[in-house]
Amino acid sequence: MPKVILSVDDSRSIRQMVSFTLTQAGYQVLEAVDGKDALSKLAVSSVDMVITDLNMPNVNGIELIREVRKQIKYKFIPIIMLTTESQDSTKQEGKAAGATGWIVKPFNATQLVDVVKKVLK
Amino acid sequence: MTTDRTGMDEMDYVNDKQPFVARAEWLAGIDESIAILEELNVKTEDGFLSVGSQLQQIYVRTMEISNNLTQVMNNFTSDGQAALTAKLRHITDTSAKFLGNFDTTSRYAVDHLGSVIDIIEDLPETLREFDRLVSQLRIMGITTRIETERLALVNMGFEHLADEVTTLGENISKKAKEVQTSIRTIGVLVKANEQNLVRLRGRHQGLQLSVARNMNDDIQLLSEKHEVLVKVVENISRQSQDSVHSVNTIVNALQFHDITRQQIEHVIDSLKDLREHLENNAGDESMPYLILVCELQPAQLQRARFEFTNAVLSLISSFGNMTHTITMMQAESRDAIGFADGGGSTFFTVIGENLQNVSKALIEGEKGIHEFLDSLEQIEKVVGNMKVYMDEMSEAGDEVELLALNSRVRAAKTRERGAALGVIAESIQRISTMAEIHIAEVVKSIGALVEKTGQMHDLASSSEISRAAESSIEEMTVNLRAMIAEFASSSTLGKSILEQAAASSSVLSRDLDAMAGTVRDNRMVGETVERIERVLAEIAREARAEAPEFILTEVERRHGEMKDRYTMTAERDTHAAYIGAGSSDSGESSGSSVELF
Repeated sequence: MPKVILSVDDSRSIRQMVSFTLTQAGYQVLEAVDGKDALSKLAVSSVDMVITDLNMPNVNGIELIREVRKQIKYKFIPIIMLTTESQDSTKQEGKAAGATGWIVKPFNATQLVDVVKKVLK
Repeated sequence: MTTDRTGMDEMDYVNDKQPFVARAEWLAGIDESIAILEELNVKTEDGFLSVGSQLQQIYVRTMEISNNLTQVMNNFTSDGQAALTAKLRHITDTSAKFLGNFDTTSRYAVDHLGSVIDIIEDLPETLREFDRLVSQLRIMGITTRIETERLALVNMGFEHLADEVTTLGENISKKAKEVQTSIRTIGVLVKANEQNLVRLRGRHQGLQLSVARNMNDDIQLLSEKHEVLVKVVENISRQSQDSVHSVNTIVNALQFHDITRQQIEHVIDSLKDLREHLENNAGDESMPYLILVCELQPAQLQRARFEFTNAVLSLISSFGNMTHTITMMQAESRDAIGFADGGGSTFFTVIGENLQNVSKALIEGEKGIHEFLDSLEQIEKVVGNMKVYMDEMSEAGDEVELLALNSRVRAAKTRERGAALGVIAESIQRISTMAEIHIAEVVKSIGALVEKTGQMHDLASSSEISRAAESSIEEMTVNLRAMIAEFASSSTLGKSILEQAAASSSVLSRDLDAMAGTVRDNRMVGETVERIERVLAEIAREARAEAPEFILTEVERRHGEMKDRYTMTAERDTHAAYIGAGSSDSGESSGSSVELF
């Protein structure tokens, strides 16, 4: 059974590229358009990892992480932030919320797969 | 826009009581910029999303072509080809072994036959000695009879002695003749076999050289073909990796589109905020804000434009590379298969002919060895007869000995009267001794013949040719037929897959060209954005021209503060570069774009 990864981003093209890259690497990818959509999907699916953008409408990336970490089922699930931002303060905020790691857009396909492999090991 | 308020200080400006009002053409310029940028984002997003949605199937189709070509090449290399070479090498080695065995066997056989000839060539001389002894015995018989009559020793048994001496001589003579006949028979058989073996050996040696040269050359050629094909497989694998690299570049470039889209969205938001500010808060506060926005946003747009243009160029280049790679893979594999296939039929025909010659020669050799074994059996039979003759001769020799003794006894009985018979008895005794010596010589030679024929028999019957050649030749022929069928099957399959790959590649190349076309249409985006940059910069320049010094000072002061409005790393970098603070401000992470906590 392939591992299931939830890609959360309000940008269709980023979701498209994440999905393409990880599908080629043998993962199953679910997509959510924002944090709120992601929480609904997490409630009805079994997900092994989340890759989320930071700035999104409705529920943003940091809020999403906080909500996810409240759930026992997903308390230790790897969550990677995939964002255009790289300020240390924002990163610290993400880390404090429970993020596992941080990738700055644009991502390198090989690098993204390597990170996923590493955190899912 | 010619009003010039430069030089007016803050108090003058305040006292003047003329509130700042943005010019209508500025507002129109900002509105138009917002509208154009919004339209651009929508337009480009559709095009890039369309490219992104096709990427999956393009990738799958590229990998399918690559995998099919690799599969075809693998049919001609790896296991199949290695097994083919190994089988051919086995056939060559087995052929060479059989030919070598025959050569060794026939060489020893010819040597042994030479020894047999030497033995039987010496025998007639010994047998001639028997003729002399027989003559002497005959003389002794006559002399005994004469002496018996002369000495009036009739009825004393001497007449029987004379008869016995004569009979013995005749017997020995008869046996010696039979031995001579046997030797002639052996001579004929040995000569015939020697000639046959020498002839076969000559043919085999020629063939051995030919097999060693031709078949080894063929295997060498096959190995060279194998090496060429392995290189092609490596190239296809590398080209396949190039395609993966191109796809990764496309993934990266498509993200740049999204990043620049966000940058443009932020510019739009900033211009909208300015527009609202100008509408609702017309006054002195609006002037520095107008200048700030219209000066800073073109810098953001410029960065977005550069990145967008680079992404477009990168996409076009990547699609071009993929098309080129697919064409190269297909051309290279087609040429390689043509190379392998072109020589294939001739190659196997030559191998087949070589094997047929080997097979024919080995069958002849096997027949020759069988004939040789048959001859050996005949020789052994003749030699056996010779032994019997010699046993009989030996008995005759014993009888001569007995006769000599008998003569001596009878002579002694005659006392002085029969002294002459004593001389005869001594002569018979001498003949007996000589007969014994010659018989021993012949028996020794026969023993040597028995030994030689025995050795030849063992050698010929233990030769692998006689037992294994037939089944091995049959096995080799079956193997060769299987190889030819396998080769033909691989070739047919290869051609079929190549035709499919050619068709797929052609369609894929066309689709990639179409995708590149879609992206190429976005090159006008850069020109449009550049035009907006100029419009906004012109507004800023005109506003600056009107602004008093303290407003300009305020603008300079607030340049730095504007940084906090940006969230994206690219925006903050652009802003830092614009205000001359370097590419990265404090608080920015440096180094890897990936960080695990």
